[in-house]
Amino acid sequence: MTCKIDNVYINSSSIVGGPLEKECSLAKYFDKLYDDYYASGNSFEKGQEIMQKESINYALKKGKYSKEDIDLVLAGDLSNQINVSMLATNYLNKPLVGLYSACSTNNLGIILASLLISFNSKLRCLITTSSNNKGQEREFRSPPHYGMPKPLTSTFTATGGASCIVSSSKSSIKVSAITIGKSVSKGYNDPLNLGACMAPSASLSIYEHLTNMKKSVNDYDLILTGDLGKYGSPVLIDMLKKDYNINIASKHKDCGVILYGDFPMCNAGASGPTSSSFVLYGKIFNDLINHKLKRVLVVATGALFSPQSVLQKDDILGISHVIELESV
Amino acid sequence: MTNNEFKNLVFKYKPNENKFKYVLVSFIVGGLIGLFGEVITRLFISFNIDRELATCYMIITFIFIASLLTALGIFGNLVRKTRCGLIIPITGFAHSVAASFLDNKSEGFIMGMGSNAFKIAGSVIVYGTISGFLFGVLNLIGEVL
Repeated sequence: MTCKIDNVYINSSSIVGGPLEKECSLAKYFDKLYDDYYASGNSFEKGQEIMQKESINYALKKGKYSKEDIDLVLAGDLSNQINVSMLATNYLNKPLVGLYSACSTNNLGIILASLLISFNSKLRCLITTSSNNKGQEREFRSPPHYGMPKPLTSTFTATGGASCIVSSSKSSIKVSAITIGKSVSKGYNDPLNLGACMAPSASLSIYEHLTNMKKSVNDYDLILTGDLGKYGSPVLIDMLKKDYNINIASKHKDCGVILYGDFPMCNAGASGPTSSSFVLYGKIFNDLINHKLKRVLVVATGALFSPQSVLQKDDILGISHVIELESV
Repeated sequence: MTNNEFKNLVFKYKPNENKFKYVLVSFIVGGLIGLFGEVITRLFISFNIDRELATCYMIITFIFIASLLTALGIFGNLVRKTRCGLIIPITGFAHSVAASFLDNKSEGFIMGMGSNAFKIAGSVIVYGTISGFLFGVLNLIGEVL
């Protein structure tokens, strides 16, 4: 499903990161960086909540908004029952929509907010997401203190919170089109190679967006995928070439590789809903405001599975939601 | 693209892991642990403790060292580097219990630490006991025949 969006702008955004974000090449774009995964909380979940709250506060402050200016909150993350996001947004006391679309939650939030604002231009929406490497590690994999050795194709969940405020009041970044993705599986179910599991859905969503918008790859300065990593990205490029005869190699970059690609311990790169939002809210928004980039296609990729479904040998579904951003 | 074509594409880009290096590192680290164990056992023997009891003391020492290093956050990083060399000996068992304990600290003593302590080590205990029983039966049959 592709929609052109007319009157939606990104007014403010904020990212707050953990210890690895502090060492990465994008560190200067973060509003606040914490030294550990607890962020002065007493559990990983509490730490994640604190980071998410902090990012909401910064997003409000940077846009010179008070919490009364927000009409609707769209929040989601990877924790069980998306509980961390629910707790982190509770203090706002605003109508709340909980979202889950794995690592593409952030894009889904922007998409839904854009559609709602198209419907009622007075709305101002806050989209917020978070993840904590250690919290997700213990939820989906093994205890974080165990230090389970992992293959090179595995990804490393990013840590922190990311929030942005979207409304119809004009700013330098415009949301010009969206595509809601379909869930896709190609029968490849390796939870330690999620990049490859998500590549088919990214390829389908990019194809659908370009076809429905009647645009070509050359219309974009950058095509950004969420967390395909070092070994999922070439699979996507090959699939698009083979299935749809679309060549994105020269325009494609992956957020997971940009964020954690330099760290050998992170193997294939970063993952999590914050992986795409850190790069998007940090570097890409900055480049759009400075007119270094004109038009960007952001394809957030998510892998839909649970710890049980993996053990029960069920399919791992990939889902990719697309937003098109323009510098104005 | 069919599912099979897709699988071939994924394998084309899958990196080759240096398994020989992992095996070599595990072999050396595991061997060093064995050597260290023998040194500790000999040390206990020199205090006039008989060999069987000295071996028990050595194992307890290892369990203590591994759990302490886990609690200090050192062992997890060592496991990541040395792989099976540290997981297969008794140190790995102690580490898995201590890691599960730490992991569930925030959920309290009973439903958190207590019920999750053997999350990883549980399988070792269950199948260790079952195989112990089976080999005991085989041994008995062998003796009777």
